[in-house]
Amino acid sequence: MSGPIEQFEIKPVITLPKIDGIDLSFTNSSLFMALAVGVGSVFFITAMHKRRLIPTKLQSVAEIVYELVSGMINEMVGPEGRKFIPFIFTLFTFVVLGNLLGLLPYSFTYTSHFAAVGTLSVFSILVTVIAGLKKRGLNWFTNFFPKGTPFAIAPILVPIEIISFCSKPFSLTVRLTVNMMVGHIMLKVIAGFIYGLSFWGGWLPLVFISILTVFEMGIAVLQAYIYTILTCVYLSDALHAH
Amino acid sequence: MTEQHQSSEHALKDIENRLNALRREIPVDHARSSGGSYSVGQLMWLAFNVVSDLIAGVVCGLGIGYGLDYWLGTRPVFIAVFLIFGCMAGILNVVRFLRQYEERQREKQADIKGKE
Repeated sequence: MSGPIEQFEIKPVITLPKIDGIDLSFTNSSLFMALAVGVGSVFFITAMHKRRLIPTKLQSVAEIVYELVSGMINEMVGPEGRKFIPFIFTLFTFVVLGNLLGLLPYSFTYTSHFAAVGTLSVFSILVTVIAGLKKRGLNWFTNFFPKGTPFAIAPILVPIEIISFCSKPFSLTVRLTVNMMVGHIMLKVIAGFIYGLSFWGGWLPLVFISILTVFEMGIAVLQAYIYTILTCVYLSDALHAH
Repeated sequence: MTEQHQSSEHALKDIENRLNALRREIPVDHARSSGGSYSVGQLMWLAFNVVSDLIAGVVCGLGIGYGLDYWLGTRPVFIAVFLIFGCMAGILNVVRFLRQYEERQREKQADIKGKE
């Protein structure tokens, strides 16, 4: 039986030669990312293939997801955030599919890896920075030193604000990664109990793991929702003055 | 006719009195419905957010301090200074997050009251 941490191991699926000492192999992590993109694209294209006034079941699901994201942006960012709907929508779909595909047996959860989610977080923060710079120009830098603040506290306030800004991608990453990792380890450990206790005692953990799996599905969607909603909050911070 | 009218009015008043008495008896449920207290899930969510914001601030401060020291060769100075700044940034993050959360909660309550 494999250990509870083994599921996070990155293994190459297609080994490629190293370029300048960097391993560029197509790994199981890349495979599941590609799979998530494929599943997402196929789902939304088939769901919205025949656009009907009275939606089919699939179209309703696609519309619910869209309404969720669009409502989130309207509430958090306001009308000028509408042009970011494609970006936020893709982000949400990518994260939620990563979480949900990871729940399938023998699959890999790329959202439980710091490297994958960290890159995604840094990228989304960079998008908000570019959007802020584009809209407000150099005024964006007043985020680090709001107008009307006494000049004497600048040496303390500016570094604190800069650290607070730099910690945004980090806190985004920690929240999602730790949640997914803990959930998956817990599932694996309890599944190990079923095996260990065999036929006579294994029923209790079996019931427990069934409940936990449903709970974990809820967490998968909720964490993706929180991830996107916080990105929206950061986007709104970048576009508006405090 | 007037008797009937009077009796129905009397019944209405009776219902109102009983409702008021009930409301006074179960103040906890009433508070929950208006958002006065939080559920366990909501509290856990809040706690998790607060913790990750705090940690992120401290770790980032530490990272920047370590990087500066590595670059300038002044080993303990910047780590110490930026660790303190990092703690402050973490607290600032939490305060900001909670303020936003409270504002949203208040807006939601106002919405609910407006609908009532």
